[in-house]
Amino acid sequence: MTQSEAALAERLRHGDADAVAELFDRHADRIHRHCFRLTADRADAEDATATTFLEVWRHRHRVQVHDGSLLPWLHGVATNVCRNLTRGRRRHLRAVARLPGPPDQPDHADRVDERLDTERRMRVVLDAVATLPPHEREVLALVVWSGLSYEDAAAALEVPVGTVRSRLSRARRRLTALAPIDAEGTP
Amino acid sequence: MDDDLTTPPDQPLDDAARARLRGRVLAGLDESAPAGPRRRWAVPVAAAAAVVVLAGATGYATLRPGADDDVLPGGRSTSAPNRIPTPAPSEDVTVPDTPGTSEAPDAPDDPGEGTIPPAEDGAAVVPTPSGGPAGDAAGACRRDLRHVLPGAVPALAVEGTLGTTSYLVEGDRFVLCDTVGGTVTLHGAQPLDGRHPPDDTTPWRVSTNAVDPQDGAARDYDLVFVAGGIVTSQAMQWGVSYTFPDGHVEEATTSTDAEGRTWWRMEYVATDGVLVAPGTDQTTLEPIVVDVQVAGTSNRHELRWAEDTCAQVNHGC
Repeated sequence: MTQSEAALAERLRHGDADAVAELFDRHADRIHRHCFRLTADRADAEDATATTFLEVWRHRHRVQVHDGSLLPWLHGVATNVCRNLTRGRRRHLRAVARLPGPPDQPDHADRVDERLDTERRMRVVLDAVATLPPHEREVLALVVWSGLSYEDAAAALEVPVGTVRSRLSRARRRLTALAPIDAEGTP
Repeated sequence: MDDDLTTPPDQPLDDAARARLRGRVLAGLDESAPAGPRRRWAVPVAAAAAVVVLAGATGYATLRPGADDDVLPGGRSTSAPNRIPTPAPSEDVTVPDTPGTSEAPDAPDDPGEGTIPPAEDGAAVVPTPSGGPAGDAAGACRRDLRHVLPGAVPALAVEGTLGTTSYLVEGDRFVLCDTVGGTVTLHGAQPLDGRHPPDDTTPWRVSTNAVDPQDGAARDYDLVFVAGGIVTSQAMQWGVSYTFPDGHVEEATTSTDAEGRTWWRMEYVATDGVLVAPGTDQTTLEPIVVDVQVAGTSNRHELRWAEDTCAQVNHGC
């Protein structure tokens, strides 16, 4: 029988490492998808996913269950991790840009093309919303792309529900002005 | 379709990647210590002891509270800092709640704690001891605001040890107003979105004021350092700590205003040690180290004495 998220949270608070493993098994895919949508890079998303669960462990005394689910809190942690990862990555890329490029390395994996195409398409989407303030992008990612309710997104970001609504509304308004972009943004 | 916001189809983690990540997480648990009160630096006793205490210059200019013609950081004189008389404790003080950063994030829909309603005329109003010096300071805050951020209205007020810190907003900027010791201290206006160059110390600068010794001791003064601003990261793992040359580490606290914005505040009253030792030249001290933690990432800033420790713009240091 699957343990409730509240019980899982309680085990986390008490320092039960197995609870992290269980939490990972339950939610790693969703967190990874969320991180990919924020980074457009599968390797970064994997790093962010691992970091998210380590952060969960590190801050386990602050774990929050919202409406019986740990997902909103996990999404909040992941959002913060990705934000910092992205910032650090930008710095890294600036540094790398000054170095000679690595030699081409052939990769014959069947999925490489698909993976690169997915990353390219996600990058296009992220570029399209790059003009939004970060907090509006994050609401967009949580509500529109990851399908969190307004209440769950509010819990994830620790802001009032009204703030989520207004940020999303502003984001859609801004994006509408950027024709021909589809402001609905439904995945 | 590349020109809309439709995200590409999900590519789930494959079994190998999931196993690899799971292994990384579980292997990292032992190294990922639980977060407790942040005390990341050992007390730099040796550093403090190594500071050569020079007689003479203290790096502080004369305080001129409310001086309308002094809207920029003033120069530094060699005199000791002027003392600000501290207000007598009052039973009437309205103390807004000051939720800490570590707990109580359970009520995001209840941002009213610690807020103050704007006055009918929209002017800045801060809770102050009625009739005391800080009450006079609230009026001075309104007066000095016109030089710094005209039309700013209060978003939040947080009670400190010796005064009240309020955050006032106008358009896309805000200003911090502190009434330590009954004198208004305004910091420079900053952008509400918190954007600043990564190495810019402006958001972390502290104002410095000298007040009468709080314990009635014979020393000349206590020093009060105040900093604050807006938290833009929305991070749950957000924190700022200041390490002073006397080894003291002060963690910032956060509060949320009625619009859901989170503000941080740091206050340290130095009552002993190298910071208030007679004859200390602050410019020879170790820098104040600011550690900004966001989601496990640490950014360190060093505040240079004088340049970064005189954040007030309406009077000198």
